[in-house]
Amino acid sequence: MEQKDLISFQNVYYAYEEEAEEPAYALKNVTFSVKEGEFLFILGHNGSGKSTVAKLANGLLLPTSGVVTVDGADTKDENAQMDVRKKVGVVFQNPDNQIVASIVEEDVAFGPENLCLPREEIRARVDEALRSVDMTEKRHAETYRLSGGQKQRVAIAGVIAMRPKCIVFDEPTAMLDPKGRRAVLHTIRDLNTRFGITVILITHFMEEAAQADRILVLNDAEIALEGRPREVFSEYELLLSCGLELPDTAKLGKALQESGVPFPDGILSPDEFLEAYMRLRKDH
Amino acid sequence: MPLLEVQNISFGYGHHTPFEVQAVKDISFAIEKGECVAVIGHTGSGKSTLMQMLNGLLKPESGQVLLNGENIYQNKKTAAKARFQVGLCFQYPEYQLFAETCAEDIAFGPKNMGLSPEEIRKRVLLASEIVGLPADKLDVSPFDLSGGQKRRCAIAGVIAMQPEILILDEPTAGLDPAGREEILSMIGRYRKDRGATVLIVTHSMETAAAIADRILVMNGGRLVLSGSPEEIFSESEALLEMGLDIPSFARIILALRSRGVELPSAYTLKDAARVLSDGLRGGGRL
Ligand SMILES: Nc1ncnc2c1ncn2[C@@H]1O[C@H](COP(=O)(O)OP(=O)(O)OP(=O)(O)O)[C@@H](O)[C@H]1O
Ligand SMILES: Nc1ncnc2c1ncn2[C@@H]1O[C@H](COP(=O)(O)OP(=O)(O)OP(=O)(O)O)[C@@H](O)[C@H]1O
Ligand SMILES: [Mg+2]
Ligand SMILES: [Mg+2]
Repeated sequence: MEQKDLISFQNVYYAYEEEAEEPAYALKNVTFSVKEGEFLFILGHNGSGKSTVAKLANGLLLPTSGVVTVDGADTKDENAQMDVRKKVGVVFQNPDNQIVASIVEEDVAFGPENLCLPREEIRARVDEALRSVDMTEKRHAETYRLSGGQKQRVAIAGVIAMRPKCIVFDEPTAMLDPKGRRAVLHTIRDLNTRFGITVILITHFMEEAAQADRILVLNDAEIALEGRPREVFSEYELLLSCGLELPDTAKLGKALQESGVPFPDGILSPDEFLEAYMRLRKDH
Repeated sequence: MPLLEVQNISFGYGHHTPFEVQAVKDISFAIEKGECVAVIGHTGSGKSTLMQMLNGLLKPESGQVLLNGENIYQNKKTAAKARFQVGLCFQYPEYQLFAETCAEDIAFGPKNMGLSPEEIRKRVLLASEIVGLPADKLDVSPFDLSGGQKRRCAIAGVIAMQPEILILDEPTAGLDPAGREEILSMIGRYRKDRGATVLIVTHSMETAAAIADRILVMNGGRLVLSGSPEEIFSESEALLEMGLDIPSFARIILALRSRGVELPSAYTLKDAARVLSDGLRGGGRL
């Protein structure tokens, strides 16, 4: 079945300082769309415009020119703004900027309260959101005392409780230890597969992107590449010129090729790597 | 005499409240001049608290920090001196950046050191080039930078002081892959050119394996392991239990071993590639 577009960017330009004589565009002629239920990754060098895309997707910023639509509504349409915020939630780059209340459950309740829902509904949503990020036990804890990983989960719960159709995660694992990274990625994948929430995930970890439905690569404010992980990671030279890399497994495969081993191209996951290596051993 | 010696230091937050946390518990270690030491540990294990005690910012509740044999918390003067000798770059650049423009921010340390305006200018340009901060961002407010640009600016501010000991708390978090490589090779050059000593806190096991002569592992406020990358990463079960891991390259080798392939250990990309290609050539396989 052909899924419909949930978010679409059409020829979007964005300049933080529109008044400047020669405005520096953070986004230039960006056109792409995200289908309902999709898991899209956005990669790109520092300053390439990823966070700017996140802020445009939920109407926090409005395009300098071009159009952003959410579920068919133009984010510039003032009557649609509340609806756009409800449909697209953003977990920002630094969770400290997102946490507003001093107690965990109050923080998670903040969004639903702003939606003016009945008390029982708020209660139910907060409980469910905390459960889904495994923070029920910490619901009475003080937010400033949480570790980086716990803050990150509270920020995610706060967005889940709004029941958006789409969540944009801006580098959700940047400050996490290996276990925390795995746990948060697992939670996000669950939101997508079990609850059908559309996910846009911004990351600098190529390994994470290897599991995407689709990847969008930004370079100097423009889209440089778009496609399935296998397609994107086959463009080695282009990725390097965009300040990116291959996932570790593919890097190791490349290093083997360079040392003269006839290792196959296009190996992305560790499992594929093991299979390919075992096959080489058998063949020789 | 070691360059930096930490003797039985402890620190807690929120004393006399129901929320008291003992963040650092009785830690001791010593670092020799020129060494590169990586500190790893689960979130909340006390790494950032420990780093702040090493440069005169946060006084340990007990124990001592000795720089060239001298207690840095002896008095205000010794603590201030330590701040120039030991440059600390914070985990969250937002806590460090404050000036009107990036250039002024980077110049802050050198200015406080009483350097001449020409020298300061030179250092600002050099430092921002080293960290890859685009030149057109120098006159921009640090608050108008992207996440990774903020980190580059914060690192430049510390490099510009040219400290003898460089402490970087999660220097590669939020950096793009090219930026991560640049910062790591910058650290290498900085060590070589100046004979400097480097401490780096990181959640990336690959980074720790690639850069460190020695790794310190923190767990629940305590220093639980210290050793070469080979020694530390051979303890894969203990690391997993502490919320940590072994480098991705080492995981692949372990997985092949569990399928019956005999391979020696390797922890970095280069070593893993060599071991794996030898594994095919060995026994007349290639
Ligand atoms: N508030 C702001 N005012 C002015 N310029 C800004 C502002 N925020 C970002 N910029 C600029 O816009 C460009 C794109 O920034 P953006 O934050 O979207 O990058 P990013 O891809 O998210 O980078 P990173 O990987 O470092 O987080 C950068 O050149 C940045 O300096
Ligand atoms: N300002 C503070 N007030 C109260 N508690 C704090 C404060 N800063 C840190 N803590 C607590 O002290 C402990 C150690 O924190 P620290 O920031 O040193 O850990 P870390 O190892 O750097 O963690 P991360 O990997 O998340 O950066 C944690 O339990 C933390 O919650
Ligand atoms: Mg960003
Ligand atoms: Mg820390």
